[in-house]
Order: sequence, then C-alpha cells, then structure tokens
Amino acid sequence: MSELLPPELLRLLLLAAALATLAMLVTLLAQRTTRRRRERRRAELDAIHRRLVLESTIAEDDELPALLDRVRGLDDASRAHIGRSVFMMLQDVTGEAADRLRQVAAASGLAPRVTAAARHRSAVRRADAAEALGRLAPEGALELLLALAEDRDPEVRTVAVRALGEFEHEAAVARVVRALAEDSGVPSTVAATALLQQGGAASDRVRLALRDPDAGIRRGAARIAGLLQVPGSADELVALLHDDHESVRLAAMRSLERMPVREALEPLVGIALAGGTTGEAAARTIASMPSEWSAPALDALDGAEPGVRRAAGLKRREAAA
Amino acid sequence: MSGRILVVDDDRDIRDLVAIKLESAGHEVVTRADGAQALEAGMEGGWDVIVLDVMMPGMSGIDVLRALRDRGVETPVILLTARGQEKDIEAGFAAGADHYVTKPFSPRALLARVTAALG
Amino acid sequence: MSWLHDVLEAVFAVLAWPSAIYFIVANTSMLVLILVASRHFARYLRRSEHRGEDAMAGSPVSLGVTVIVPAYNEGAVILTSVRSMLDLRYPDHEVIVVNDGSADETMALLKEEFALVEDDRDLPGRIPVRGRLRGVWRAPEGAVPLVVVDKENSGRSDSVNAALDLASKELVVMVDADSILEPDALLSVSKPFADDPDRVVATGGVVRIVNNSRVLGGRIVELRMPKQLITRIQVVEYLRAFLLGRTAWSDLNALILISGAFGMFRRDVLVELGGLDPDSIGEDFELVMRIQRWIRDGHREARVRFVAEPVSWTEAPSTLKVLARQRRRWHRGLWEVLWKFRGMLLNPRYGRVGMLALPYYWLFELLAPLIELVGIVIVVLGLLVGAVDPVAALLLLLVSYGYGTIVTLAAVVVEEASFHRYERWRDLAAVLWAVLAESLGYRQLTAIWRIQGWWAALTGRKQVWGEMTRTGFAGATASGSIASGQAERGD
Repeated sequence: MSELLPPELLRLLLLAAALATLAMLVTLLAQRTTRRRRERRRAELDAIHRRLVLESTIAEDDELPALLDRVRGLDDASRAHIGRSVFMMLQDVTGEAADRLRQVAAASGLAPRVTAAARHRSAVRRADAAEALGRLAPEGALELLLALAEDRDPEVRTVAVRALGEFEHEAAVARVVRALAEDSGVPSTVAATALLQQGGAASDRVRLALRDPDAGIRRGAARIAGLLQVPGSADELVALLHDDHESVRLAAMRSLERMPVREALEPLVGIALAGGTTGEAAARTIASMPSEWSAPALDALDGAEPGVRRAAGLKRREAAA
Repeated sequence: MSGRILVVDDDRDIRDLVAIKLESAGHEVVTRADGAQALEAGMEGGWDVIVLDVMMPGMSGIDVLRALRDRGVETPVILLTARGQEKDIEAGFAAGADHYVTKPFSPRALLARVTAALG
Repeated sequence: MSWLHDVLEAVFAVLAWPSAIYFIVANTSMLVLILVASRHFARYLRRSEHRGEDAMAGSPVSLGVTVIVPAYNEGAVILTSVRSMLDLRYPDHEVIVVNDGSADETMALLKEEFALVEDDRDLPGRIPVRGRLRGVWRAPEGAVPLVVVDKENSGRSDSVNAALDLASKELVVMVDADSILEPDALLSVSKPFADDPDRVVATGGVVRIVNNSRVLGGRIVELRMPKQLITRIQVVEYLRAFLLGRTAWSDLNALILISGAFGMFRRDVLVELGGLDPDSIGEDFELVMRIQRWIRDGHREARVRFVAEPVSWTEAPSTLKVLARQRRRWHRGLWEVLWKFRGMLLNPRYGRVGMLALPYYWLFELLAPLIELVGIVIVVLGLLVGAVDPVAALLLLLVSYGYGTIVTLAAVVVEEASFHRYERWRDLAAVLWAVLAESLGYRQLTAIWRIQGWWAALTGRKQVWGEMTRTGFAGATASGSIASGQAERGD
C-alpha cells in the first residue's frame, strides 16, 4: 500500500484532517459565544423595557398615549425588542389587555414591518408575516391575510388560514371554508380549527358547506358542525351518513355524538353491523345518544362483531352470561 | 377588598401579566414558577386565593391542587388551562378547583374571578 | 514466525485498499446523512415563528391517540409514569397499560390509585395475543381515560398487541413505562399525521439520554450531562445515529427504523399488519420494515416520518455489563430483521428502501464490527511481526477512526446550531472528550459485543437477556432495579 501512496499524500491528509477538526471546533465556540452574547443582550433590554410593556396592559385610557409616546421615542434596538416581547405576550392574553399590547406593537413600529414582510420574496418571511398579522391585527390585516391565503406556497397559505381564524368577517369565514377543500394544500385540521375559532360567525357557512360538492369541505364541515352546535345541521348530518366518502361519514358520526338525532339511529345501526373501524365509530355514536333512544339500537347490535360490541359498550358474552 | 394571592405558572410572561393586573387592583401577589415550589408555598398558608397553571413540567397544577386538598388546605383555587383541554377542567374540578380560566386569558376576567373568590 | 509474516503481508496487500475504501465510503455516507439532516434542521428552525403548535394543542379536531404502556415489574415507577402520560398536553388521548404478569405490586398499585373497576365490554380479538388474559380494568366513568389489561407474562411485543386490540383512537403510540416524556410529545409526534392525514402511517420520535438529569414527577426539570464516560459517549452516539441519521433517512423517504420507545402508528394499518411480531428481537425494526414492505406492495403514497424534536428520554446503560447486553441484543435483532427481509435488499421494486437504506444497514451497520475487528487484528499483528508498513497502518487509522471522529464532531456542530440542549461550557467539554474517547476503546468494545450478538443469532443460542438493571432517576422517582419488560420470555 505504501508503494502506491507517497508519504506526502499522507501528510496532506493529516493536515486536512487537522484543519477540518480545527474549523469545526472554532465553529462550535463561535456559535456558542454569539448565542450567549445575544441572550445577554436580550436580557439587558428586557430588564429595561419589560415593565413598560406590562404596564401598558393595565393602563387606563388616559395614561396610554404617554406610554406609547415613550415607546416611539426609543432607539431601534429597543423598539424591536419591545415588538418581540409584545408578539410573544399576545399568545397569552385576550380582551382589553391584548388591544393595549397591539397598540404598543404599532408604536414600536412592528406593524409596518409586518405589513411589508407580507410581500417578501421569501416564503418563510411571508409565513412569519401571516402569523404576526393574525396576532397583531394591524389595520388592513384582513385584506393582507386574504391575499396570503392565495399565496403560491402552501405553507404560507396554511399559516394565513390559521391566522384568519382570528377574524369573524364573512370574507374570512368563506376563505377558511374553501381551505377545507381536498386540493387546497392546507391541512384539514388547520382549516377546521380556524373555523372553530371563528365560532358562531361561521355557523351559516358551515351548514351550507355540508352540501358542498367537494368531499374535503363536506368532511371538515361535518367534523365541526357538532362542536359548533350549528343550528339546522342535524338533518344534513344524517344525510351525510350515506356519503360516498368514508371520511365524511366518520366526521358526521363524530358530530352526531354531540348533536344526537333520533333519525340517525337507523343508518348508524346499518353501518355498525357492517363492522370495521367505521362500524366501531357508528357504535360509539349510538352509545353516546340518550339511552331511551339508543336501547333498541344497542339490542340490534347484539350480533355485531366483537370490536363493534365493545365500542357500543356491550358486555363480553361469557361475562353477560 | 384586597388579598394575598399566590400565582403559579411556568411561563414568565403569564406570571408577570397576571401579577401586574392583580397588583394594580391592590392585591399582594407572590409568584412561583413550578409545581414543587407552588406546593411548598401553598402549604405555608396565608393565601386568600391561588391562581394555578395546569400544564407545568414536573408536578402539574392538578397534582399540586390534589396535594393541597389532601393536606387540608381549603384556599380557593382558580386554574389556568389551555383552550380545548376540557379534560383538564374536569380533572381540575374533581381535584377540588373552584374556578377555571382558559388561556389565552383576559386579565380583566381573571381579576373578576379573583374578586369573586375573595368575596 | 516467517510464515505468519508472509501470510499477513499477503493478506494486507489484498485487503488494505478495499478496507480503506470501505471506511472512506462508510464515513462519507454518515457525513452525507448529517448534511441532509442539517438542512432539515435549518428549515425547521426558520419556521419556528409560525408552526402554530399551540393552536393545535387546543384543537378538538385533532386525531385521537391511544398511548400503549407495557409494564413488567414497574412498581417503582408505574404510578408516576401513568399520571405523567395522562397529563400529556393533547386534546384527545387515552392510556392503556398492560400488566405483563408482573411479580411485583404493579397491578395492585394501579387498582388502588385509580379506583379501577372491571371492564366487561366485549374484546375485539382482531390481534392474536398469546398471554392469557386475567382481566381488563378501567377507571370509573367520568374519571381519567385509562384502561388496564392484566395478563400472564408473555413479553413486551405480545403485551403491546393486547393493548392494540383494545385501542379505540385513530392513532396509537407505544411507550415504555420507564420513559420520560416531554409534555408536548404527542403533539410533536402526531403533527405529521395532522399535516398529511391521507399519507402518513407511522412516525418516530427521537429518544435521548436522561442519566443524571433532574426528573420530577415523570418530567425533566433540569437536563444535565451524564456523569460516566460510557454514558456520555452514548449521548454522542444517539445524537449522530438517532437524531441526525434518522432525520436524514426520513427526509430521503427511506426510514426503516423507529425506536420502540416512541413510535406512533395509524391504528387501522397496525391492525391490518397484525401488530408486533412477538418472536422478533428487533420488534420495532421488524415492524417498520413490514410497514415499508406494505407501502411498496400497493400503498405507494404512504409515508413513514421521523420527528426530530426531543420527545422521549430514557435511562442508558451506565455499566459495561448492561451496555454489552444491550448491544448484543441490538445486533442480534438487526441481523434477524435484515435476514428476514433480505428479499427487499437491492430490489428496485422497493425504491430507496431497497436500493439505499438496506444496503447501508447491511454494509455499514451489520458488517461494520466484523470488518473493524478483522482490520484491527491484522494491522496489530502485522505491525508486531513487521509485515505491515507503519505509514500504511497510519493511513488506515486515519480514514477509519480519524475520519469517523471528524464526522461525529460534525454531528455535534449541527446539534449546537439547532437544539443545543447542553448549555454549560463544562458540558461542551464533556461532549468533545466523549467524541474523542469513542474511538479509544468504546468502538472496539461495542464491535466485539455486536459480533457476539450476531454469532448468538447464527448459532441459534437461546435468547437470554434478563432484566436490564437501571439506576433510578435522581429526584422524586424511585431508584433501584427496573425491569425492561422483556424478561422470562420462553422460546
């Protein structure tokens, strides 16, 4: 081997290995030092400005302008820090305190930066902007979010749809419902959760969506109709027990657990007797209904497969005997 | 009327937001950042209300509450729970909680709860 | 001795270049995996502002999860463990504990603490279970969502199967009773299912080492570097192989190993596949391989994903004896599973799993200890009798251990840039020393154990691994001997 390999090459390899090791050690140290310095700087700014941010949440109407003026008068680094603190705190509070914090965010200059970032070239920055628009709700946020919900990048669309959950405007509800569609690129749980957050404002649209030609929209609407207690949706949910798509049928069953309807029992028994995971879900729905209704249906499940019987709460045969 | 209130949450932002609101209404507030410290403080007694976060690393708020009630501490407890964690609320009441407030929370509504508990 | 000299010289002349190339390719493959993983982390970290985990944590539309906890003689930890699992931050989960014929008070403790009542609902019986069922218990209506299965001892896999049969949620996750879970573990590991519900069928979380950390009530309160060198080396090993390696394989869509300590699966798929194989030693590996085969045999859209956020912490062996037992068992499992699925190796029908991941595991996991040990023996003997040129020996050393150390260092750099869980300067020094020390004895020792495990499999020796002795978690949890739930399994 050594004949094929001149000692110079070995020396060269050793040198390269040493250099690579050194470079990585330096990187390690540099990473850790800069991170520590950044954290220290943050802690210093926090010590100075935290009190101001907290006080804004309890300020009376007549005290607030003075506080906001103080924020506006600070240097860039301090205002950026305050913007960041407010952004984090807005995760935790609602109501009046949140409104106050949003005004501080505006005074710190965060809002214009976020608005500008909504048109940034990088998809990550646009997604960050969508998140911030939802939390800070500056002027024009709804329009920007509606635009971001049409972004070419699915990740940006997802964050925008989630952020639209903060808005009860009809346009926001309509856009979120559309995000339930199968090819929207937005996870269905995200869109459904946003609709839940919109709450009562979404009721009418959700009821209409139960008849949508798109299976994804039907499924999402069926899943949350019960959670939102959408008035007038019970009959539609019963109809969806016969839907072509299994996932839609399953979603309708989950909602019927919270909105019991007598007419659902007959189709549910049929599904339960067919067995499988869908059958189990049907059995669970039956078992969740008022006992005076469900008793005959449960009797009918006596001959169902054991998994379905378990889901319906029926006893083991040897235990029952 | 004003009271001595123990506020427990592992999130510093929430601790501070609750504390400043309650202090602004004239209450005396002491904060703790985890379950073990909270139990210790709770056992010392002298609290009029305890505001307790449910989801904390280590001892959860429910664990703290259960331990306090087991040892005969009957101070009113208001739980802070995450939205949608309905089972936390059920478990909380089973363990002896008096009220709950969901996060994200409105400091004003929390103050109203505390005032009611004091009354 | 001249015949030995001649033989060694001849052998070395033939093997030197191939083995040098082998080590270069092995280490370079690992380096490539680390680079793939670092790209993944960079993307992940840039998205930290808008991941929206809290929104999902509170969402009632999340998929339900059944947490399966097999327990064999876990009396010391069982209550803390079950409480911490019930307390996980997740909108919809149930816990099913399986008492695998424990000889201690595991069952009695559970019955008393949760005021269990008999669960006389019917049993689905879709999954064959070997251990005879003694009874099924549940927490009273309206209390915690807990079911406890009491059965005769039949091993961990069979216990998991018993629980799988009773699971009622869309997803199931298998967790060891002595694992420490992050409060957000279920949220992190279920996220790929929520993001892509039609395709993701299995996810695995990263398991990290808890030794010497402060643990309270089943949660990590303060993360500390383990004290013993062999455990510190395992921290580095886990980092490189489990965190970075598996992240990369997942990104390459060729993940074939999910740790049994935290794997999440779609229940319907698991039931269809019949659950875990109770006869397999590497049952986690065997299951994922079966899922991968199932995917390529007609479910091409399905995906297996790895989640890099820390979710589960486990006590790593801190004595050579226990470590040896673990490594023998791992390698035996590796061999048995690779052999069982040999038909997939280099079979283009199985895509990247067959053409990339399996060849990698055969060449650089299964064969590595053999090649390493044979190399050491030849080089050392050769140097002694003067048959091997010292320069050539040095070169081999450089491309094997030297390059390997550099690759491991790269893994540490990536961890420092992403999760940096060990914050003290002292910890960094300890990690660096462990990176170096891995090549100075540890690798050679593990190579011997791995060969022993492989040999035991080939010669069909009866599997005995007994109880894994662990030193308890510092803090409030009990210490002492905790069985792994694997003991007393008959062949």
